[in-house]
Amino acid sequence: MGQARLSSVGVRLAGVLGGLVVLAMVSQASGQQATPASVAKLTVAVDGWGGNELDPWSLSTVNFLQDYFNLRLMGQDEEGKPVPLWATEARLTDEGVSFTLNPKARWQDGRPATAEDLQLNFEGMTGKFEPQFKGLWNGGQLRDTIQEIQVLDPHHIFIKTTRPNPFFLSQWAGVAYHLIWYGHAQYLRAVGHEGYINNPIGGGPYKVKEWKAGERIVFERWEEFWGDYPWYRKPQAKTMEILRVPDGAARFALLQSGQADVVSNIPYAIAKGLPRQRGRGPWIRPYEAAGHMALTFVLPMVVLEGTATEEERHDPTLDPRVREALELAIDKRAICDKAHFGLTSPTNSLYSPGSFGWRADLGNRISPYDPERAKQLLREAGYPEGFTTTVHFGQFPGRPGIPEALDAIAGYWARIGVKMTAVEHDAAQFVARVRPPERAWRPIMLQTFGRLEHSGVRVNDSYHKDSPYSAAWTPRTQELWLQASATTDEAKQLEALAGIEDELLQHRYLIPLYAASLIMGYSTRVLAHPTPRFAPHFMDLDRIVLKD
Amino acid sequence: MRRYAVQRLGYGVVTMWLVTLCVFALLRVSGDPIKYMLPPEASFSDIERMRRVHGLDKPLWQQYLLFNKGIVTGEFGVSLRWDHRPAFEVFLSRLPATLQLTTAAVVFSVLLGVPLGVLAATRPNSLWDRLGRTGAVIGQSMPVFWVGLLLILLFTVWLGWLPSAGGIDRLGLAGLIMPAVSLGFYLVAAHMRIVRSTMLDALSAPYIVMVQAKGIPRRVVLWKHALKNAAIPVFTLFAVNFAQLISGAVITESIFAWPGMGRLLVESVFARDYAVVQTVVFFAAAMIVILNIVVDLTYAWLDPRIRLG
Amino acid sequence: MKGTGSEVIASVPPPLQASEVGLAAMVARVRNALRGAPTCSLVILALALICAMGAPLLAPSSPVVGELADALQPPGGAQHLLGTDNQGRDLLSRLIYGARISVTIGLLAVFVAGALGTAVAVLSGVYKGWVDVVLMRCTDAFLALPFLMVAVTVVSLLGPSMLNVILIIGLLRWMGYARVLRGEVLRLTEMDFVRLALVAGASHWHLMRRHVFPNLINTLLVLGTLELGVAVIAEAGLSFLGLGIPRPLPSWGTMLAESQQYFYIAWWLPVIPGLAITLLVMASNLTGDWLRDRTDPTRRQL
Repeated sequence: MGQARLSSVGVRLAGVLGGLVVLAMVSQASGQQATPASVAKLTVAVDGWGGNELDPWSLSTVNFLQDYFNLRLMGQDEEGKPVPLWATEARLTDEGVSFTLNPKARWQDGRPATAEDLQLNFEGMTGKFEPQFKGLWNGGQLRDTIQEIQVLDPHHIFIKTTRPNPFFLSQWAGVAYHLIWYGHAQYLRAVGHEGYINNPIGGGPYKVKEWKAGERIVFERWEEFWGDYPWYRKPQAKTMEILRVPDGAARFALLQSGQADVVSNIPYAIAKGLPRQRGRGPWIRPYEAAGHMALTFVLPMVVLEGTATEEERHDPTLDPRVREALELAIDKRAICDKAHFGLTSPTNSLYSPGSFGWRADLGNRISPYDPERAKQLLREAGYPEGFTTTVHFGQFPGRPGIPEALDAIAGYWARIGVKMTAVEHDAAQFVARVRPPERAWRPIMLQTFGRLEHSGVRVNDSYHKDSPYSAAWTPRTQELWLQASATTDEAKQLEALAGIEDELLQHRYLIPLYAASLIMGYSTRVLAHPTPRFAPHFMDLDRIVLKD
Repeated sequence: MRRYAVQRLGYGVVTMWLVTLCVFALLRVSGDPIKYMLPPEASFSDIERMRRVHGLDKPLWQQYLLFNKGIVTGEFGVSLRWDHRPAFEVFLSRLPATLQLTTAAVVFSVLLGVPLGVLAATRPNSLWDRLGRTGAVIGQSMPVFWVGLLLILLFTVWLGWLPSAGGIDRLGLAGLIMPAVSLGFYLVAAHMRIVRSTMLDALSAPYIVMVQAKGIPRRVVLWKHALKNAAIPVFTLFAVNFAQLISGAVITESIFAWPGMGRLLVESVFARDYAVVQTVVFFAAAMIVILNIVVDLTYAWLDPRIRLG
Repeated sequence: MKGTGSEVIASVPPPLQASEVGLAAMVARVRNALRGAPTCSLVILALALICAMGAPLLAPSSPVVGELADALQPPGGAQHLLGTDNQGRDLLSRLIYGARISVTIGLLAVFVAGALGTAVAVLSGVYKGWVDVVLMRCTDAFLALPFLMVAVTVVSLLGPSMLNVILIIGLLRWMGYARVLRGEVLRLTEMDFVRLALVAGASHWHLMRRHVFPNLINTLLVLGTLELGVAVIAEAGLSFLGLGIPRPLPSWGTMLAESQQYFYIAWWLPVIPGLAITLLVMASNLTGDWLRDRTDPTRRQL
């Protein structure tokens, strides 16, 4: 009797357990099948993508939309390491650079993409086909470095450089960061600039379906896309729409209301409350150290270059004790933790954290917050009552947090008697007038720096005499920079970078402030976004994985 | 009348010429577009080359002559920041969105303002009237961008009913509601006050009182006679406020990411994209001047001294 | 204003009666002048003026220095009546100092625009002829120029500052004064007493100074009060776009602009400064309306 009951219980138990196992297997299987091969639409909202030019031979500035319909030679994986795209191999020597191109590469009208196309691209970019194609904004630099282009066969090309150019790959091949895109050369030449912008034909995963300059672009997936790398292949979304919405809160409103699935650059105040993983609502992921900010004292350079007025020669910021006091009066950690809600990190380096040239021991040695000592230094320097000064700045897409930082700094400096006003200038004007000899933003400016790999030069270009985006320099940094830019030896470059940094920090010509992260926001539709951890702007939108 | 019309048109032309002169001078004086165009990494030789390529190295007087010639022949130059498309084409592509926005704003303000004004006029000094007047003043005192922000806060963030960025072809008519309301908000107040005051004047006119005494229903009196009187001042108000409407559109378009003329103007000014700025200002000014001429001619026609003189 | 010349010239007051002397009489005159005044609006204007003049005395804390640890406190706290902003700065103090900025800019902008507009109107109306035509075309041209375009250009040339904001607003608002006052001036110059003065050999300048200008003051007052509101909104708009008062100075427009990203966590940041702007502008509008009705009793109240 007991045995029978036991066995019937046992059968029932087994049945239940078996049912549970089956259930588990089924749910796991359905979870694995949850990612469809194709979804209809992906909507992205960004604060800006750069310029509005579709024609890759007439870019007046970078245009990140080009990633999706024109070609890059190489790209970056999630670790930031170079990976092949159009070029499967790149070799850089003192004589020049050689590329091996992917034989499968094609343009969107079916024609193969060959080395000859690449050669035509270089020619178009340097302005050979003026006035039809205006040439790239940095076409002059390209022309200066290319001595000769040798097409060895349809998939091998060798570019002889005029002198050893250690930056060639990072500037033109996209290994560090892409600022250059290569287009369908024969089509460009056949239809000209007008024809091209009205019907662009590229070689990338998406075709341009609709383009409203400055507002939005609608991409349509190219079904016969040639790329078959894990990081560069036919995207999941059939249609991708990228909207430009400059206001941060409005961008987030799109995310929250479900009108956009991906949003770039969410303001810190909004991002702080959002989860870092996919859950029930919008979630976020930062691009870390997308750029960093520093206060630059301009007058020492102005004096060095001999363009200082009489009044400027007596400015308080020329005294190193004053500069030290101004740094000690700022509580950098509080700014990052409170004003930026913990989404930025304080830094003590001229180079972005984790980038080429960054030394962790120096970079993490944040200056102490010591307002008493600051006041004492001011007294020693002869300013017991403080003084009045101005900080100039501009705001750029993808560089959040500047006004909050400056407000906080104004408060900190007010506590030691220094009255500061922060004057904003529109971005274009700010950049244009930084350059010597004008150096308009006196006595202090807040400068933003992209990641070292980003700006296309591995040796940071802001610390020499003729730099267009000049920060500070001394004769010693000038010498070191010249040394570093003449060698392809990375060890020597690092040594020079360290020397430059030590020199400028010792003189206190700059106060490094914080490394800003760029917050990407995602809706619940988004499962994953494989993209580098450190990146200066939104990337890899074609790699986004959606649930439905 | 003809003489007056011709004179007014002549004035209009002179005004337009003055506007273009102002714009040209302001732009040229405010800076060189090539500097503003290129990214920070551009070298000095890059800048020089770009300047040459875009033909901005010609002397100023030559540029001004070319510019004037361009207006007369209908070529407004080539844009610098919009893929070197003709500036006129860039302007035309943005014009519809702004027209949609301003039309919707005006329609909204008339639909709301006129009935409110009528209501207030028919019950003068009642609670409704006082409430309406206070509401009108509040409406006229709220900054355009504040109204827009509050609407977004309420309808997109808290309630999630309405979309907040993009323009009609993306969002359909639903996307037009909030921008139109925020732009037209202060006009509601203005329309209400004008309608109220002209109707009060009309309603107390002797012939109206007489007509009412004869037994014609009040409603007929209201809509047929009194409202007719309000039409012209309302139109005048609209014409006078049109310039302000365009200004307001700039801010509204920025808040709602509306792909219109106003945003184009602001961005082009920041970028010193001469051709586009000149084109947009030219046409915006032309619209304002034409509207003013129409208003003047209407009043002149109504004034028998001028019409028959 | 309708009427014959004799009403307008009435500048010789009747001899004082016994009952018109003394404090009681003065109070009675003030009460008469303020008949029908919108009390709330006048109170608001007075408050704004007091804030403008006595900001350092009135404000409980500094508008510039904040305690980051106290950031984003909602209103109603013991220490911070209206709450704090994202820098921990007291909102009430910033509001008071902001009133100072708004009132200063408003008054000065009105002064600049009014002076310019009056000059144009008087020259236009007195000299008439081609002077009138040219000046009126210039007025039309300025009316057709987009405010923001001029603002951006001026700011990019001269940099953002309080002075430049006043300049911009003044330069772009004078046309309203010019048009309205020109009408007044034309009417005045048609009057007998002016014609008589001309016949008697008075110069144009004398005419403008003695006869025309004093009679414009009423209208100027009305216009100026109404324009105060416009100037406040214009300044807020400029600051909102980043073209106005540099930080960390607490312009109400800048406060609104900064508040956008805090919608979700600090509703008081966008609401309170916007309310302040609205109240000040409303006060100026209502007071201007009342002044208009007071100085022109033939016009019905709007």
